Amino acid sequence: MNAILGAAALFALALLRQPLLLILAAGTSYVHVVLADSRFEFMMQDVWSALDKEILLAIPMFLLAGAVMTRGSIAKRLIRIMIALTTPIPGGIGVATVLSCAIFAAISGSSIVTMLAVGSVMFPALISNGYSRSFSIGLICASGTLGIIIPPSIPMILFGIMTETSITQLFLAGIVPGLFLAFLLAVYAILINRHRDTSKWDTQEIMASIRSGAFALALPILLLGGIYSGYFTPTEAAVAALLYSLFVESLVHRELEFRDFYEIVGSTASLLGILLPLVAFATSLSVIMDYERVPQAIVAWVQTFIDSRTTFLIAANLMLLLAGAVMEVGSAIVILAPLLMPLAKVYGVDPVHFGIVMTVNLEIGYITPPVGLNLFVALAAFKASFSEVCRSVVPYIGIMLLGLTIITAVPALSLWFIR
Amino acid sequence: MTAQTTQSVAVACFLQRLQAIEKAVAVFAIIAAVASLTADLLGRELFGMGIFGAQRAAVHLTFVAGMLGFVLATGSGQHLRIKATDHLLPSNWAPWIERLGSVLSAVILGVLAWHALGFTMQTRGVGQMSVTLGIPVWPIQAVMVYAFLSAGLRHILFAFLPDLQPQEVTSS
Repeated sequence: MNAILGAAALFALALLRQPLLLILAAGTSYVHVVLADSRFEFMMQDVWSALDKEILLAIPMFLLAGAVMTRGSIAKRLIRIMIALTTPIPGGIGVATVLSCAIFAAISGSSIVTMLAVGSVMFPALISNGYSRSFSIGLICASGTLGIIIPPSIPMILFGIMTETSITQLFLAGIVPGLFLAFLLAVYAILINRHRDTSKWDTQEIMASIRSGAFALALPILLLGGIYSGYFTPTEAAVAALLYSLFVESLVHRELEFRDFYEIVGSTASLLGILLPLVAFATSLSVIMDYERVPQAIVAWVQTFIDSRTTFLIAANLMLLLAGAVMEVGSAIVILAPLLMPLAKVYGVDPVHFGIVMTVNLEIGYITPPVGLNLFVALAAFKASFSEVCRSVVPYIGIMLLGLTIITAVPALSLWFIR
Repeated sequence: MTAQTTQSVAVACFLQRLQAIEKAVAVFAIIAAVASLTADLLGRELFGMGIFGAQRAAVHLTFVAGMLGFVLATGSGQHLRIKATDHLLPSNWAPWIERLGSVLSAVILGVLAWHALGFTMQTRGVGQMSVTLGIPVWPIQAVMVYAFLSAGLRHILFAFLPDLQPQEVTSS
């Protein structure tokens, strides 16, 4: 009875337009005080303990590095190289869009940052070269999602924190699935534009673009090489990315001034203020549910009607796709990951593989109506209507579902670099 | 100019100044955390040893920045919200729902602030210290109390002066 009352109260809070954080805080308080044998003070203790961890330091550093790179010209320089390299391919600018997003994803940890940094340059380029608006908007929205699957990735850091899975292993596991999804998107861009004219490689332009973007190109090599070799922990990689991007944008490219930096750090503080309290209250909810043995009860209940690993993975994918369609990625991970992980372990799914499957599902949520964030960013960035954006992403949702199915069915894709 | 408008302008001015101070402290905390981690990383790379307590200091500074960032996000309408339920109630109720919602947010934040204060006082009472840095942790925890109070204050003001309510921003 108390549980039903609690659920009704949370629904009422949603009706009264409360921020997700306050709904989560109220729900966590209710579980502590009414449903469990606990007290408010214990919840505050959990909130403090959740935010008193070194591993969280990677989040502000990657957020800040991403913001510096978006404000500067790293993205523009990477794009110039990709356009120069893809001119002989039919649909070359489309392929360049996908590749630029993939490389930018390897230096930023966010989908929106990737989409905006690349999309603001590539959308006018695609349109002026005769590509349809629908193809261009859909491609940029979908390619932008690579930002959270190709490491570094803020959602993977959150998954690692909430489920105590190695973040380094999650980063390594994201490389092949991320490149695989980029490959599928690039193949689609080529097939759709196979009748377009192409031109030969312009060696001079290739060399000039590489000279201009050499520092930008070195960043993913530094980051991924550092993480893959074990030289950097995720936090050290985040600090290195930030220092390198600051050095390149302020001293080499000369695109960043102190006043810009103040604003960038201010907006990073706001983003931190959205993410960290969510992590803190979700951790407290997870702790109290674990104490009350709720995950074990869920496992026992689910086992009564799901009897195989395959059925579990299909059910988990459907649930996560639905969650991705109605929830923001960070909040979906902090709330759902601790609940689903015990189930994944019971059915023999590798925790790192499950982290990648969860990230890809929620990545698709970025381009799924009604709350796909990339769709809303596209509305503003490309001056498109909501229905136009939704129609544009339909084929790409199909491609990414194909990718998700293969990534789920073939764990070796995710575990390539860690076994 | 009506009395209500004059009031709104004065309150908006106050909130702007408060927000500027909170932003400056949050920015300082993040820059100090970056400096601390950088010194630690460079120390380890160049001299073979990091700086003792640098990571812990960065954790505390990030906590401060995150809690003040929470207030900044409240002041600029950036918090994530479930919008799927917006259409379940008649649209002409929206102004009253927003006011009622602001009051409710203020109540929830007030309760959180009260219990955060209790927790902070308890920590102070037992003399809990940051083990690595050797400083008491309660002043850092007190930022949590401040953040809930400051965000709650904003919601109260939004309830009484709805024109101060910020436009919602879709954030990453």
